[in-house]
Amino acid sequence: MSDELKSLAEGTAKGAAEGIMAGIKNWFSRGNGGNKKIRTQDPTAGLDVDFNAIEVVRILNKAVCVNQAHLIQYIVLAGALHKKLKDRMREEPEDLSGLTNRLGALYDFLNRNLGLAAQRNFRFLHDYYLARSPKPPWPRICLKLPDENQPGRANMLADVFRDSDVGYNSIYPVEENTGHVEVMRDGQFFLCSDIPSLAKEGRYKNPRLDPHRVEEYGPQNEEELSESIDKYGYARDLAWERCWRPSGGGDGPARVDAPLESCYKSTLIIPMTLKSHDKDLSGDFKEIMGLEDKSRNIFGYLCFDHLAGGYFNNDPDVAVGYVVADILSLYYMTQLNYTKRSTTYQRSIELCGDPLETET
Amino acid sequence: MAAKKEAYYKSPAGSQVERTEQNGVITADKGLLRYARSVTVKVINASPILTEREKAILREAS
Repeated sequence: MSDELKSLAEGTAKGAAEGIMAGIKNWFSRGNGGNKKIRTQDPTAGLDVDFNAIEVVRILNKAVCVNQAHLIQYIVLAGALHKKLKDRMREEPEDLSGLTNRLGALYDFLNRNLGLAAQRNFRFLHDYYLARSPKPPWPRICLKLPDENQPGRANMLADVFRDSDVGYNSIYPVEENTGHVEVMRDGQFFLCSDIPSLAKEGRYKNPRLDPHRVEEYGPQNEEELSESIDKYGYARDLAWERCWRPSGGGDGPARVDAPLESCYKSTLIIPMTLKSHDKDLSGDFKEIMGLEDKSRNIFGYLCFDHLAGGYFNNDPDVAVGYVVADILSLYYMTQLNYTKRSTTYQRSIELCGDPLETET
Repeated sequence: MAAKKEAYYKSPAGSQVERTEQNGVITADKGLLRYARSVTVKVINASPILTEREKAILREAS
């Protein structure tokens, strides 16, 4: 290519790139975004939210790129391991040892790599929140799934993967958490930026919140505020922290030692859904997936929470959350397809038992 | 009242009317829930994509 042509091509590409960037900036600046400084509602939070649209797009670009490779790898290797199990079942069904080995390998691979995918994507979300608010603390992130395996209890929800270990398990009926009730009702995200006010009004329930303490909760006096500074340098709301139980469920009184980060004031829940009424989805697909004839089928929740009030924004936090929830749903559907939806897998479990118990 | 609205906003813009349609649920595989209970974040992050056992099975002749 001649220098003149090369220069022209570079100029055209540069112009196109600038146009795209301008469009992206414009898109982000429609809501709370753009490169505007936004002060949060809670003055004690001290958070300055500075969205850098270009940085956000770069993070999402990288996330999609990395996931493309890992998702293809997950699908191909899961398919290969599933085929090995199916072959063994067909050719040597009496060899329980060989069958157990292959079942265990498929089981381990699917679940371990789903966990790895979750952690990988949590890190992209960390990058996003770091770009959006450089000072800690950052939100906690968790993937929760509907759980039908709790004896005698229906509509249960279980935390499956978190971005950090929290020291408690969170398994409770959907109806005990207002956020999940709302998502179940309309299939849309749930965003609450002032949990203390809502809980005090009786409009927000959470299995870890002590309703009696919430009823007594009120703003701290100046002296208490100035004396209690958390590890991030912000004033602690000790009265609010006392409203939280350190672990989910139970009717006992709240204790003061719930981990600081678990005493949150903001929450965002993004559902992972399939629209059953989508005319582009075939009836056969719906039948195989066991989709109910409802507006949407919900199969998981990507949950965020944060210590400060007013932390999450409609735009772009919700949009970024949906991008990652949708990416994770692709891994998760693959996992379901080779386990719950697989007759080979289910028959192997019947023959060999639960791989976690029979692991050698 | 305005402050309350600000404190509690959900929904895609514009949909103020409460929708009451019911949604279906797809529950998780029992094995995944059991697996997730048995590992920590540290263990997951230190895990390989493929273990030696999985590599050996993939290399077995069918």
